[in-house]
Amino acid sequence: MHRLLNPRICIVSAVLLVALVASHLLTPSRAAEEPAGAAPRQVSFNEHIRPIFAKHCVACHGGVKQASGISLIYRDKALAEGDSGMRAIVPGDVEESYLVERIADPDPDYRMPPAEHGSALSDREISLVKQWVAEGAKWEEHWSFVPPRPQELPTTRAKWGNNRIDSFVLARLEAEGLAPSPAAEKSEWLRRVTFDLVGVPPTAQQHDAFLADDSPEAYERVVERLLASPKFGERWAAMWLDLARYSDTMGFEKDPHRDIWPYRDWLIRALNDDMPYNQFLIKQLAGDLLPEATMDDRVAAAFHRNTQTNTEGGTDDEEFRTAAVLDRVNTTWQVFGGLTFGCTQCHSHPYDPIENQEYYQFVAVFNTTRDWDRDEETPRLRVPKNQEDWEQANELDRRISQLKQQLHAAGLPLAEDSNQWKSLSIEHALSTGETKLKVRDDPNRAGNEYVTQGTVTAGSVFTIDLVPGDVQRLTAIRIDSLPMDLEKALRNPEAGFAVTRLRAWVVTPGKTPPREVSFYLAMCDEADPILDPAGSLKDNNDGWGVYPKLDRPRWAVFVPSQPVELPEDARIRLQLKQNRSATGMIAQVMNRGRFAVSDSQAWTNLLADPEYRQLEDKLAAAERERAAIASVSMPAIEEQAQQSHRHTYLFERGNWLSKGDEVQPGVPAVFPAIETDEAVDRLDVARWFASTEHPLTARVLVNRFWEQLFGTGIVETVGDFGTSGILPSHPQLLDDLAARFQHEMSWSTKQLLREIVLSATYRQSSQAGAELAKLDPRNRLLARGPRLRLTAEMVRDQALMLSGRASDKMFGPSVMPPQPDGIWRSVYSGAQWVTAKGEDRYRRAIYTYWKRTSPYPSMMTFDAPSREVCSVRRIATNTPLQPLVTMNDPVFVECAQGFAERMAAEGGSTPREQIAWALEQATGDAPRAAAVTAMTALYDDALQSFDAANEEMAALGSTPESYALTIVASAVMNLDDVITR
Amino acid sequence: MNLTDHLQLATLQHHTRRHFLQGGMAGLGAYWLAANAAQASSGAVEHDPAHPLEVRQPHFTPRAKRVIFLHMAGAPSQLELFEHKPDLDRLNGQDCPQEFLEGQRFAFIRGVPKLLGSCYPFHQAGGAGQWISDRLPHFEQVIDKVTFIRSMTSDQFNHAPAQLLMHTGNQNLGYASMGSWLGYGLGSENQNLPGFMVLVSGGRVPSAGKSAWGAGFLPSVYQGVQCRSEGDPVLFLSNPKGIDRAMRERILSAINQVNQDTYQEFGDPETLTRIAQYEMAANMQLTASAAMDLADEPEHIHQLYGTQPGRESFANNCVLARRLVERGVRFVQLFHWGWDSHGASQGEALNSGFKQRCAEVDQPMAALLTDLEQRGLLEDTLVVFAGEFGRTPMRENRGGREMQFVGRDHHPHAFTIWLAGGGVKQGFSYGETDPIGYHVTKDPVEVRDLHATLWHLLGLDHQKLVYPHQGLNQKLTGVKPARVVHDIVA
Repeated sequence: MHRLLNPRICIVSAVLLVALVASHLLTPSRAAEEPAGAAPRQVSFNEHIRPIFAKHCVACHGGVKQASGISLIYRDKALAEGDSGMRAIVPGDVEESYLVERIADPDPDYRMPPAEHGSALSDREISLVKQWVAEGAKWEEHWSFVPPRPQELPTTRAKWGNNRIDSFVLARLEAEGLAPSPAAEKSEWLRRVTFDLVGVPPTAQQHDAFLADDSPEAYERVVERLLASPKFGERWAAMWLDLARYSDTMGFEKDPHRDIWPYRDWLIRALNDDMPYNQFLIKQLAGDLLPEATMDDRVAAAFHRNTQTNTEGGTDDEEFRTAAVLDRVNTTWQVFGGLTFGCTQCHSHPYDPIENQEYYQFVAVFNTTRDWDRDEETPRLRVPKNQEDWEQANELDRRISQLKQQLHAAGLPLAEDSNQWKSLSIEHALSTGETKLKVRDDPNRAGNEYVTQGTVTAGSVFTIDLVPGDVQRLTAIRIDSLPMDLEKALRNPEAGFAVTRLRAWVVTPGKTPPREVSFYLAMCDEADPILDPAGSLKDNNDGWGVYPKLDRPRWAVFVPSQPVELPEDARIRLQLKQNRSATGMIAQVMNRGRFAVSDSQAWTNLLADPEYRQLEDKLAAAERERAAIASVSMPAIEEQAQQSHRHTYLFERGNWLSKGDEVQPGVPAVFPAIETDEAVDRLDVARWFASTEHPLTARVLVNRFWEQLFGTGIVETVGDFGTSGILPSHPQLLDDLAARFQHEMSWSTKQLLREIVLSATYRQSSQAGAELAKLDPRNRLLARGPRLRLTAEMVRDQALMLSGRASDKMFGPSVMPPQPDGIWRSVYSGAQWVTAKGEDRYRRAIYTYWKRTSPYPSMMTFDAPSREVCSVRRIATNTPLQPLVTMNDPVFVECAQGFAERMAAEGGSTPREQIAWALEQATGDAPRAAAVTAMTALYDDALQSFDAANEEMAALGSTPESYALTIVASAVMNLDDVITR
Repeated sequence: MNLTDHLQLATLQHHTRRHFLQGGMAGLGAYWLAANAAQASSGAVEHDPAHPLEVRQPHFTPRAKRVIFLHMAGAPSQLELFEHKPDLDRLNGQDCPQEFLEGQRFAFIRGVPKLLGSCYPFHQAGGAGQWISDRLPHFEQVIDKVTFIRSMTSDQFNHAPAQLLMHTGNQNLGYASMGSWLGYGLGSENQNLPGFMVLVSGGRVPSAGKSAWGAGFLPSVYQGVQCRSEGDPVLFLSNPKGIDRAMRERILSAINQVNQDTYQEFGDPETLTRIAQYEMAANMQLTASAAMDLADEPEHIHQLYGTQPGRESFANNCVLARRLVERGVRFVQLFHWGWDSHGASQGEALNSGFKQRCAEVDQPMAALLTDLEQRGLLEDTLVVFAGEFGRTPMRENRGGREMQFVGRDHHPHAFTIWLAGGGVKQGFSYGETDPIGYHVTKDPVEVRDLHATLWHLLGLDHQKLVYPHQGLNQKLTGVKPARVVHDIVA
């Protein structure tokens, strides 16, 4: 066995891993509860052995490094022979298990792990391993890789609680010798639950009604009202937009505008409708592939079009398309699977049984969409602005697609019939610009071809003279565009091309002038390509092309309106204009081409066929009808045509330019398999995640919602449920909720939330006694209720509510509330922040325009991420820049003025009454007398210092009273109680 | 604030500090906790998650205590500034040999471009006789203070990814920038100013946007704070019109009075932190405003730098950088946009806009070194001048055409940066390139090597300044081996 090992560079050291696992002092483990040194009745792999392996062994014998052919992550590898020919573990036979011999060896030169890699195993650890081997070395999957099952309720000494959640929490508290806190005051709970469910504070009326309601159902009634509020979707979509990395811009250098807000609106509606989470998931991952996909489904699928598009000049579209696909893979796992799947991009997972190759199998599932980092962000979906038009528009889209398929199918047998095509010989081939064309014969086939050489100029116009040979009558021309290197192009595609204008003439020597051929039809190898071949027949920028990359041979056929007679000695002259260039002036020029003609009457017959003409008319009519529906065009997820599906290869060491073996789509073997006879596609994978047999999906979702309500997840590392993540604080509670969420609650997130917020655990007072604060500063044991800082969105929305100016307007394009000048200064971009007028100034934060390279400053200060990539967690900070926002940002000053106006109008007749009213409005609770006194003193001071001659003061409040109220309003809006929920 | 308030606050701050020291771990979440535990067990920097900017000790005695990083966004041409290549001048106008083109990816160059000699004449300057072009007459007066690294290489040839690599150690978004790493690793010397400040000139932010000074996976408290040349120097720094300093203090006192009662009621340590943050915000209003006000600089300083008060300029930003490091800001990041000399437009062409860029930076950067030295700050302040990559020895032929102006394409394989102060050698040159400046031929320095070297000068072991994220022990220098370039350390 090798002793000298290269230092591990990339992966977390075993020491760190254990630190991660052990860092939570309160992490429960039945093993930990046993007296140290005592042998358990039966050794469990997950509880006893996996932590030992993780701590001492897997840095060298894990997923990345499998020294001496031994990995202790995969059961089969652990039980197999190592390179030495010895078996590390022989179930039931301690003597024969080489691992036991090595870890227990008294000679430090021989013992594992080597001294320079870490300390020896303790006697207890060694005896646990021995016992485990003796008991048959039973392997268990990592806890989160086994589907959750409903748990038996633990027995507790005390009687406490409203529902199952509370039993688990109480059991844990009792084990720690603690008791729950008393229930919160009604107003404390109301503020908490209102912010948590709808993202804004309760109104005075809601407050009074709840306090007046003494019935046993009072709490349920509040929860029902909040769950039914349209604001519910807005609050929860805010969380989801971080996961979806939603932005109103494309990202990177210029960071141009993108219309993808219909996806945000879809989210709000879906959450408000309580769409079952399994459906919610499937639509976002593969809504476009659902049978009979609706407009709603197709909009939902834009979840994965929130990846960035790089429009910086000179960037390689294939590189950033690849980056977007990998981002989709990693995001899918982070959001739905809670795993750091991205680890396996370069090597097998260091701690979890997921192999490098499995990463690329999963990439293959996502690698066949039609988007290609194009600046125009095609393909796009036209979403009707009026939702009432959705069904009709979707129906028209389907009809248009069917008609295109039918028209294409009518021509396809002809185009693909090789017998009727006669290869043309190129006589001359010339290009404008620096581009040089070389004509060369192909020894394997008749006819010749041209290739470009040297520098290829963007916008090159080719003029190609072709010899018709014995063809006397031209009924169609076929052009084949080929990659320069067919093998390599499949792995690393070449620059694409687009024929933006095709013209043809018949040139007869001695006779002038050349006769131009008038084409009627252009078709290519796909029924509905992104670039329309018919564009080649018009002077525009459209036309047959494969853009921006070519990975395999492609063809198009151009059919003249009438057969064209070819006199003897005549030449066919083709002119190919190629005006397009990809990001950064990369020429989109056909680098290698072949030509053929047909003299078959069948083409002429096709064009004359009344049925064919009728299809064309129907298509034109449907397209006209569709164009009349006012729509916003947003980037969409669409699959490539079957025959154009990209191949996927393993990237060697994660490098996209260095491709290894080809892989087929699939999911990691450690999880349940997908049963299908066909290639696994996105819809299969979406349904797989949404199945009740997937061990992670429900747990991850339940945990995510729990974190939103309590500040910390049951699994604190919400994006890592793997071996390197932190173990759950309440594992049985998590599994019970997850299993019941799938079955009993039918994946209803509203039911899940209802159960949590109605629990006694959630209803506890958040007051922490000194003892409890010291013992459990972060409230992991839940012996008190949560007390959390407001999110960035809540900070804005509350200020707007208090000001009385909040707009309830929902949906639509993002808006630009006031922001200081000079924030937007992106390179090569003329985009401007145009401050919204009227009600749009006061919309909820979720509608604020989101520019990735320059997000809205006040939201960033309150820990909103920039959403360049999926962000699973906002960590609330507490910095001096936050008071600067809430005290000085003109938005908040304006809100303070509005709040002051309300104090005067609604708060009573004396300043003290008005101030007490304001405190109650802002904190949701009857104010402490001391607070009223402190604020009244401030009011008096402000009143004193008011100087009507001071225009700036007068602008804040025109009278001494209104000035003083504005000062107090601003102060109140900065109180800890107000910034906290 | 009256005396009672002062005393009250002092008690509060004492309480707060004691609370912190007792190890109260409030609010900052798992990653912090995890980081803390990990660091404790690996013997790295001790970290107090409740007091994120508290000063922490480096791993060993540092040579530099602070950094001013002058990033020339867009990537200036080394061949028009620092790299004298007579052979390239001789080959001017000839086709680039195929061997240089095969297997290469360019941003804009297509096919076979022509070699391009330097647009400007070179001469030797300073005691060490280092070559320099005629574009930097002020800088050549201080050339003996700097170390050139002539063998920098990058693997990114587009601006945004290359800038991200230069500042965060990774070409992808989501990684922590140098300044944020330092805030995390060393804390801030001045609690009334952000520890990491960013000054932008040239009218545009760099291509990588705010991610160039983002915190990435680190807590957002460590992200760089951009100073502005118009309006408040730090966003929302000044009080609203109609609220003067006295009224602000009165408001703060009222807020904190109520907050203190709240703490008594709920016992939430976050409340205590909030009280301290409100006080700190008030201090920052004074400190940052004063730090950013150039009016109190004497005339000779304005002349030295060539400042024009009231306008956004690189010169102003250089003076501000000095003022900020004087006040204990750990990392000052300057960006000057406009060096992307493709020859696609007059504004950036080597034979036009480039001259202007040189004139904009030459005097201020020379003045910065002189000024820092005169104040005794240069010895422990590291100044770095760098673009995100270099430029090609070939003339750009965008879209396969000869272009109207003269320019060069992006070149990641070889470029030149300089460093001064903070423990680096003076009048020194490291690394070599081939006779046309295409490839490094001696002592290549990867971006991660530069990072490891900066960390070394700052007293940090780049292997030890780590943050656990996504199952990895993340560090600025990434996963590939990085080396400290000891040869440039004085």
